[in-house]
Amino acid sequence: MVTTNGAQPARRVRRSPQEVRDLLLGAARTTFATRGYARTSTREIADAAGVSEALLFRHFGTKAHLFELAILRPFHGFLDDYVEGRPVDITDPPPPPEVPSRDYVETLYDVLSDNRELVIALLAARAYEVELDATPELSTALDRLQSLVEFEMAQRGLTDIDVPITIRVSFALVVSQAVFGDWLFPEGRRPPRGQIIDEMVRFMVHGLAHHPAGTP
Amino acid sequence: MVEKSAAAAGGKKPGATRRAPDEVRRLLLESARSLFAAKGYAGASTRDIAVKAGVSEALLFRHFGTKAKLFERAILDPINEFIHDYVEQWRARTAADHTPEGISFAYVDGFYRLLSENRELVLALVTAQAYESIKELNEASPLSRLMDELEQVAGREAELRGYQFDVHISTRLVAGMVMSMALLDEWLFPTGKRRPSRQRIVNEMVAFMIHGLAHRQEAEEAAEASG
Repeated sequence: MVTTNGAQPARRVRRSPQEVRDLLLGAARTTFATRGYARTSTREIADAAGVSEALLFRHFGTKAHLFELAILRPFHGFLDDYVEGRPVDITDPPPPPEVPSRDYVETLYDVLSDNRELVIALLAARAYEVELDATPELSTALDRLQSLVEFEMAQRGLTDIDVPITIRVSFALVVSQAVFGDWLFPEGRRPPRGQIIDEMVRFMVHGLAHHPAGTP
Repeated sequence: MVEKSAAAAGGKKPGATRRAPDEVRRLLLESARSLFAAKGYAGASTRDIAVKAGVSEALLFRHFGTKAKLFERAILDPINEFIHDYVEQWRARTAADHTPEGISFAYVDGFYRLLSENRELVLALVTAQAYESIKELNEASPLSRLMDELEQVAGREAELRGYQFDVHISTRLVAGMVMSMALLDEWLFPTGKRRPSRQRIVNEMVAFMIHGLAHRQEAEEAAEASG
């Protein structure tokens, strides 16, 4: 006999595939971030999402694939928003180079800081635990960013820069402060976010030799 | 005759398995590096490390005290050595005896090479700092102490050239940039895609570090004007 006991609705709520996917990705992110790849089972993720394990596999194929999607999604979201948010035509005269550089550094720094555990989980998983599929997503995102930056550099007449490498170097710079910052500074004496961002923007635009005195 | 040359080479007597403490230490560190790199901190046991080094586990503990200390020495000694040598070589220069490019290149090129060659070990360190509670690694970050040493060189260079950068933070920006370029290599330059040469990557890091995005042309013009 079917009873309605309050906690369990009489009829199962059928969720849309997109909803199931989002639930699984959210559960996967939390679980992977706290426990690392190897110690997290697909079973636990499915339970946390309130979805069957079979459905997890139907959506994502393998644990490794789910891992890649769960971890990389925040960065895709960021890069998509970022690329879409860029002005199509640069104003005349263009804004000072600090403006787009600060925009880039701030946005990237915040998304990486918020997802620091995920970045480390991804690094750790790749280092020992599993052979994951190649990760072309980040590279594709960086390539998209590259064409934007190439356009912008040309507008500003900055032609002597190797854009593909520079994009990656500036990405590496921001990752290092967001993910490894705690280890680079003396314990408890890491400068506040605003100061780190100001210094990164100065460094990126002017290098060490051309730092303007005072504010960027 | 054989005995004599063996003794000259390292004092090792034929038939005896007793090795000098330095030799034991070296063998243990070498074994630890290869196992920590392959399996990470948690995955590599002191037992396996001792066996691979051909010494007893008791001797391992006599030399290093704990697994955590062995780990610290295995990973940090090469980095410490590089930074000490670099600081020693560049700390007391005059403005005339080197260029900003020279002093920057020596650092970026050497540090990037070292970290790239020991990428798995540095990843083991990052992972251990994140997931294991190892007192030795969490009390005072060993990386931060190395940064303090580097500040001597960066601070002197700023003084010599009249640069305005913040020495404390900038030292850590440059080191972080190089570290991430080495650690994230396979994300930044995935296999199957065209990869710039190591030389180009290093040169670009050096140019970025000295001139940023906005000042490369003036730097070139100045170089041309000065001949």
